[in-house]
Amino acid sequence: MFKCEYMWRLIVNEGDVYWNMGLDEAMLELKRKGLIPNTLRLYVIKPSAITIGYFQKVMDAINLEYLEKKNISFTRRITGGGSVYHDAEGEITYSVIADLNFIPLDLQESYRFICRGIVEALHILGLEAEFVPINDVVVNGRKISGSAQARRGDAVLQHGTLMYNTNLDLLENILKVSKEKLMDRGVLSIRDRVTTVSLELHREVNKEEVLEALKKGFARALHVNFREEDLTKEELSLAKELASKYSSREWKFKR
Amino acid sequence: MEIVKRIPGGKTLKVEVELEKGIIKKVVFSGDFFAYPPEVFEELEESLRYTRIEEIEEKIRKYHGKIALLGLSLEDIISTLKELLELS
Repeated sequence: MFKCEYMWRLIVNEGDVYWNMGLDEAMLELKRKGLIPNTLRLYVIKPSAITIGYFQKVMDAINLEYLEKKNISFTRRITGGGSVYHDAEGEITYSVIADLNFIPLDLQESYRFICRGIVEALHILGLEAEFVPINDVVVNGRKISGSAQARRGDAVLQHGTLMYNTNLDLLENILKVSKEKLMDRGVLSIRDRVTTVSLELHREVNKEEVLEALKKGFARALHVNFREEDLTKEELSLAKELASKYSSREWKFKR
Repeated sequence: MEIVKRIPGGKTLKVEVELEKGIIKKVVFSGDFFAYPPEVFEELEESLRYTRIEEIEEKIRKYHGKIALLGLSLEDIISTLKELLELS
């Protein structure tokens, strides 16, 4: 058995997408400056919203017209990867903010290392999951979680999703996936490619049990203990400042 | 003009090029890939502005060792860009 020698901070909260993306970046920046401890944050993006990858073009990644009709917000992440639908009633987002020396230096291996937290959480919930490179966690061949990582100086931020009861009809209407990607995966639509914890367990899973599983799963995977704490004043003020960037048209339509 | 490629075992890359009289005016690479650090990747894009087609390969190769990519490689970028330019 591994000894859990490391004490990490745990933050559990919710808020809108601009503030949450601002907070993730704020934490990465403050970690880079050595001002905050290693942290796991589990959060709900409320109201439901979309994030797209740093290098994605808005028009290729999401169905903007549909979003506007449904009054759903979106923003661009500082991390690469693809578009994500964060369902307030069916998805939990995690962030790991840590010193770079805590994770494997190799990029692909570091994704695998942190994604073990999701694999373990799913195991606790009763599902066999596996990490599939580059950045997916898959159950029964379908994607249930995706992650993306940013590094600054000696700090890392990896954030990602866990879909426990995501509205897949809405997801399919909102996200655009290239026909090249679907063909590569051998599927006809996004819906055939993704799943949720509730679908896999054939029962309605609630947020609280998923949160508990994530806490335990990450503790196991990272060999750490968590202490639930509050955000610092610096985190709150920098997050607020950065939130205005994430809500700006200039940032959203950068590509 | 543009081209979209799904890199085998990797991510999607879209390359858009604005050409004028055999000179590349602008190149935009987009997709669901990962590039570290992102600022250096953007610097690469910028470095291709107002470039002769013959020079792009060399210009991109200069970034070997400066950018870490997941889901595609600099060579994938070069071959996709060349494929697009030869199609025109």
